[in-house]
Amino acid sequence: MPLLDVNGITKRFGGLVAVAEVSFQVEEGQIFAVIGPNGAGKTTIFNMLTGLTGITEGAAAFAGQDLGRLPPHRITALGLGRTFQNIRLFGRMTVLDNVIVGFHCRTRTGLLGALVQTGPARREWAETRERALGLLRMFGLEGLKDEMTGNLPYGQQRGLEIVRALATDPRLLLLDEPAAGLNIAETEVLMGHISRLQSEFGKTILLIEHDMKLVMGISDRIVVLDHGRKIAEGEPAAIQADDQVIEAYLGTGFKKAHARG
Amino acid sequence: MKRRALLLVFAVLVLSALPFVVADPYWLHLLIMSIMYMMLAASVDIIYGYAGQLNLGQAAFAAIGAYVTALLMLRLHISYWVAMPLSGLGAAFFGLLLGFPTLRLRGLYLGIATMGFSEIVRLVLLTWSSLTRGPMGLPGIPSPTIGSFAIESKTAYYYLILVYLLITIFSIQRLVNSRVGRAWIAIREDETAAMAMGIDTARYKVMAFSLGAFFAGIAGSFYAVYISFVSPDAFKMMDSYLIFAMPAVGGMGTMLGPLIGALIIYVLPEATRVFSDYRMLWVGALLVVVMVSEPRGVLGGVASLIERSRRARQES
Amino acid sequence: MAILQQFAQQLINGLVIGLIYSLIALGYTMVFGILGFINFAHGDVYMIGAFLGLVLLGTGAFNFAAAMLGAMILTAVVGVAIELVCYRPVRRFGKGFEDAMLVSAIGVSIFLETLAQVIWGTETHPMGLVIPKVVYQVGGLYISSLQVLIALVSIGLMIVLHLFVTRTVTGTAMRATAQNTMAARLMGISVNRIVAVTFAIGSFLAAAGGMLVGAYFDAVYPLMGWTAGIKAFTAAVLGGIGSIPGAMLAGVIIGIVETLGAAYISSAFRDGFAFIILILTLLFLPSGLFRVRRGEGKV
Repeated sequence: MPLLDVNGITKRFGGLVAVAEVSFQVEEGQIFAVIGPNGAGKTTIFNMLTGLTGITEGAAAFAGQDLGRLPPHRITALGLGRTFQNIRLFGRMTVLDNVIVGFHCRTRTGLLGALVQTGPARREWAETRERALGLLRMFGLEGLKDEMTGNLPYGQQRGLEIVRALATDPRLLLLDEPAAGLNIAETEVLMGHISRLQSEFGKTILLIEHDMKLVMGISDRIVVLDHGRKIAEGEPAAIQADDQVIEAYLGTGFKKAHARG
Repeated sequence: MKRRALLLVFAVLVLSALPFVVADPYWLHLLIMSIMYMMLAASVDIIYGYAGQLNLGQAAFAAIGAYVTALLMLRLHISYWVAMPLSGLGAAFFGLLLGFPTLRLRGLYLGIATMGFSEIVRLVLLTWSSLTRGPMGLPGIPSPTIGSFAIESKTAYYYLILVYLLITIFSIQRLVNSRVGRAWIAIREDETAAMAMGIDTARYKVMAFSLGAFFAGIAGSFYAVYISFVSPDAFKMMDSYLIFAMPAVGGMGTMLGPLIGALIIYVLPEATRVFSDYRMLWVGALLVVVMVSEPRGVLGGVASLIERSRRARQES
Repeated sequence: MAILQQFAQQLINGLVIGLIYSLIALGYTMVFGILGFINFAHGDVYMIGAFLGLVLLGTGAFNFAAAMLGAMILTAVVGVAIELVCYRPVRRFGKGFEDAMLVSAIGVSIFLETLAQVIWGTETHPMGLVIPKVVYQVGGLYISSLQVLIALVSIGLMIVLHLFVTRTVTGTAMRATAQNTMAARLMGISVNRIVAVTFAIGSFLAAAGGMLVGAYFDAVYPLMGWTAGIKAFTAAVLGGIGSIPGAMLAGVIIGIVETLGAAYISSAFRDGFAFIILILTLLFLPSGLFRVRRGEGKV
């Protein structure tokens, strides 16, 4: 059974069809990319999968569970984590706190526990802090733990968003244009991180990206969207050679450049 | 960490000693009322400063608390010490009632909804005469008693409200530095991202409203026994604005911000004997001046100064 | 037949008062269209307009038309001043502080209401007879000269606004800025100037509304901005916040619903109908009648 089973999902905003009958499956452990021109509906699909917007028609299932009617926080608890196209960190919170928030759905202290500060509550709080620090350490961000996220350089903000999403302990990580705005060196580092997430952490990754070097470099499988419809699906080599994809998105220059190389 | 605790203990000691220093009953009354307003300011700060939900109707919760205490003590002769927590719970219940239907509202729309709620509460208190005696209000609320000791002197009331304030601040700080408080702040900063991080935003927003209402209700119950009289005018729309302005001016989402704001907005005009009409002019102008120069309030301004001098020192 | 006649009569009354709500609603909607900000103090600007007109009338040197024009111009200045002093400086703090504009607006509202109370007291001031009262009879329906005046002035102003927004350079710049502020800037449009113009126009129209309402109900008082403000705000939301034609239409709708409600259901509940419409709109039609898609790069 695929980890994520997207079956003919459609999204209508009034008269506008943003996504039309898109289907694909993501197997556990894969890095699966969603590419296509701007406005193709990629982020809308992410929003549908994470419950931020409704699925007009069709269905999506995660580990067998239908995602259709679930509210976003329950979907996250199921094991779908995500980052956003425009970075949405919690601005007036420290780096450490941002990651601590990520642990919310994996912890339990409620109003009473927090107020009375029971033993379990205090333990959980200390433990959460430790785990958050651990995650930051793994991605080299520990030194910034007390900085306000608004003060961080762009590249580190992008990295922090991924760490925060990791804190939710996802099985499937949805990354929305993680390389946007990064230079070549930063993108290389990002590629390394994403590969690590797959090999070391066993995460499955669903990736929206425009940086083709990144996409072709690490993806196991790619689906191509244009105007809300799927126009191609397959492995990187096949996608690069696909005429429809080239016409809609990659451009003939791409084919030539890669034919030469 | 330890130094902060020591400072706090020192502050509490100073505050406890005040009634012995302040002889003039007018000033003691001012002190009592300002501490009550500090409590109200802290209560609305939970909802707006931490959870980010605009609330321009906080006074309604205090009114509910005041009336519950008054009615329970006058009609059912219930002891204050039972009536008071019930007032808090009653107000909290209304906090729930306000929180739920407004879940999808944000910003100004939410603000207007809270104002509407506040007006409805006032109108109900005003027109349900069989219960509340309408505009005539409920006079003669008895003093709280502990055994044979009755809390009647200003000094006694001072200590009572001081204890309430300290418990309020302590509770809020405990909650803020916990999973609950982090969830609130996440919702304030970016509700959508908070949802995506697994936070049940509906639950926490309603929780914030209920908790804020609870403390306001307790403050209201204090008002009922201190003034011995409640009327629908005790906590009106203007008071909601006042209470809202206090954390806004002092610094929202901080421990001391609401307290400083209460001092600036309530005590300053009273202390300088300015005619009460002018207080709202002062409040309005102050809100604008603060937002235009340092939107994070007085405390935010202090933090900026500290930041800047720290950086200046680092560079030299 | 008499029932139909009464109904038609109420329709006319509702239409007239609705036109005034439209005038005020335009101020809310235009400012939101450009700044993404609902000017909480707009209703109080309307109130100041009414009082300024009252003051001008009181000098005896102006007739109603001149006083209204004078009040409109003065209020436009007030509106721009508020924007320059209370709102623009807040915007320089950047993105994280939208709430601060809202709080500032609340401060302005409190300040204006209290100022009016301090200067003119809390009681209601009559405006007096502003134009000779003549009642016209058209096919069994009664229209007063004042109602005709209101209709003519409101519709006239709205036509002028429409022409301004569609036919002039500044008006076109306003529309451009509302659709995509970033692009407008790149085209050389001074966004700050456009914002100031928008506030000026909104306040200009609100003052007209204030004078007309003051004359119609023969009452001017400091808290009049509160009720009218909520109703106009409702109209702006119902029409689709940011949509000028929406505000015009929705104002009339609210005026009619309110008048019919007061006539057939309960006159004491008159002010409540707009509130109900607001709640229903927010629950069932939050984007309003004419949905306006907001562009990127807001101020």
